[in-house]
Amino acid sequence: MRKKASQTGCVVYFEMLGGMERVLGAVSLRDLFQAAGRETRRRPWRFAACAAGYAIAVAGAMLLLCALVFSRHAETNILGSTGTHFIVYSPACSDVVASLTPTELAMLASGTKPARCAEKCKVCTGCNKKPLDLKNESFVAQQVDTKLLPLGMVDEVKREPDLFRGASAFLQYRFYDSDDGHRFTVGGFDPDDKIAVPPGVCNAGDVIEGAFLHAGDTGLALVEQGYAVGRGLRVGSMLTLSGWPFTVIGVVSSGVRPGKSDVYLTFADAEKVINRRIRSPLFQEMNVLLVEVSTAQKQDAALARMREILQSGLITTFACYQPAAQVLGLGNGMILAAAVLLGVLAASFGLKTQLASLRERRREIGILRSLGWSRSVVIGQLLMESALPGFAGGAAGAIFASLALPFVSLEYWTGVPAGIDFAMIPVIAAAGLVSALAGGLLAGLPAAWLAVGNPPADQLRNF
Amino acid sequence: MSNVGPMIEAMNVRKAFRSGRREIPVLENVSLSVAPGEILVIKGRSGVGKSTLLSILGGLDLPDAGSICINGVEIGTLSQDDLATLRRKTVGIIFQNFNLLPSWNAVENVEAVLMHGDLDMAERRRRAVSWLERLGIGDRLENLPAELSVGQQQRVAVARTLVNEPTLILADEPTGDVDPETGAEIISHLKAAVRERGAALLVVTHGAYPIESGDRVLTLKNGVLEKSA
Repeated sequence: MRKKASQTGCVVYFEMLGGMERVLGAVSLRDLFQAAGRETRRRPWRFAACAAGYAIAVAGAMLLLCALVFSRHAETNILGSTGTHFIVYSPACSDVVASLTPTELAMLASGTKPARCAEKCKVCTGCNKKPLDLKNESFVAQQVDTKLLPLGMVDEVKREPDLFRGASAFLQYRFYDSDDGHRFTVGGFDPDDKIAVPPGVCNAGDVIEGAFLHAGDTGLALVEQGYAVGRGLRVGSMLTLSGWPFTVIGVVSSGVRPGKSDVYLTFADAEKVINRRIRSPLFQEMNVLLVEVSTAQKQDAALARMREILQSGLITTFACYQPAAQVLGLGNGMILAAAVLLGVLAASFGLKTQLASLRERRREIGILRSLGWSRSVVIGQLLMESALPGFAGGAAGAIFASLALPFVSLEYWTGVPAGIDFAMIPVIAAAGLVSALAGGLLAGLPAAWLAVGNPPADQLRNF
Repeated sequence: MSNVGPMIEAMNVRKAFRSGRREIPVLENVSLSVAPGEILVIKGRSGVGKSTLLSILGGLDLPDAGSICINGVEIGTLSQDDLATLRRKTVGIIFQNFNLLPSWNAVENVEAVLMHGDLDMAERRRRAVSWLERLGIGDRLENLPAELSVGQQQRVAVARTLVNEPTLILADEPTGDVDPETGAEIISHLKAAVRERGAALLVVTHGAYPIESGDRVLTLKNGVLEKSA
């Protein structure tokens, strides 16, 4: 490096950019910067117009990108509890079992599949676990009698986090109370699961009285509000299931959930009470798989993968808000496209300005070249002149948008409880500034390239 | 006069401009040479191609035919960047219309030719100021060209050429727009460069430059270079 900047002031110290100097030749970046400054002072309105274009583009793009972030937050908040989950179960082949002979039923109970079952079901999932009271009781899901599924599916699903955010086993069984003849459903779940259980069954937020279950609890039950009212149950009440006593620890109102039951137990307690109602005990089994998809946009892929895992093809999904997800995705894409378009327009404006400037300054460029300035230095000079308004405009736009964003409450305007992620603002501002600078450089490149295309005499002649 | 090889040697240089389908010949088989320490004056009427010849000799333009060697280097084989280096290190050109940068002040215009060198800013400034003072415009350093008289602009142009200490000076009417006193001053500076540093000086003029100050005088007429009578 040959220069030490000795002057103070607003000129940036370019010593550190020695590598760039070597690329440009012997003319220092400081010289180029000062020369660009002269050009700026000579045509301040052109500079201001060009910088304003970049400022508007950066501010607009920042606002649009924040709207995009907001849109994604809203999508997560809105669809996260309704559209990104489903339950998996296989409808039971009860017609086959109902026609089985006592001998065949005994075969099932001992674990041997009768020939007639094999004809009907490619994958037998637990006819031998059929209820003792086939007429009144069954494994159910959404009022449909179901087969059993292996618990191993939970881990299989969890191994694909790109598609599935979570999965949890669920047991749901319809009981028959022979004392008074009423039927009710018992659900068994993992209370510690905070991903797949809350949208599919219930969560601590649904408790309207008492407390929620915890993993490891035993002898405790939650009851749905409607069932509690109908049966006169309250927190502390006792209820008996398959001869086991349970204390009501809480009353919940879970709304519309695919796994909604009258009584909720831990998975282990549910297994225990159900085992007394079926021919042979459950072993690593469930009848419903609760699944949470990674994002609403991956619903299709997740369902397809789920069908592959299930193999039998008997999958039933719970309400997916795919159209909404697709519309949101479309909206996100449009916002992104608008932001990109804005940037391209700003760069085009910059290009037009630079080309106009080049036409006016043909002779000056010829003079510099006649004095021995190399093409790379002339290109560097023109790029510097083009980058300056990009940088200045980008900075102004980024500052303006950063200051304005906190006061533009998208929550207020949309009513959707998902605001701007303020931590993202500096990142987006930096990206906006860098984009404007890059836009300025790109806009100047064609003009710079054209400027050195002819012999200097041509440029000195044409003015 | 030096007895070493010529500083510049042009052989059979041809150049024509095109206007639509019409070709306008400007230079026809022009050959010349200038030795180090020699002053060659080429005179001719306006429009005969004097400035074009100077542009070609300075590597600013390309001839249609012929060869030009500067300090032994055939410039037809050089790239644009090599030509720029040659101009920067060897050639100084004084343009007829000065060709000053309008947004650069007087001292910055002179410095412009030094920016591509190895000098630091302070030395650059010192040399530029020194030459402007020698040419009598030390009090107009910060003025833009538009704020200078034509004669002052010409002196800035001369200072810009001489500050780099070129070994080949190509001057296009260097005294065309100045009063006789200033013209004599400029000529003395140019001649000093020839005497002190052994530079070669090629001046083209339509008559404003005193031809008696040249070692040789040639006349450009209808694109052909002739010995002056």
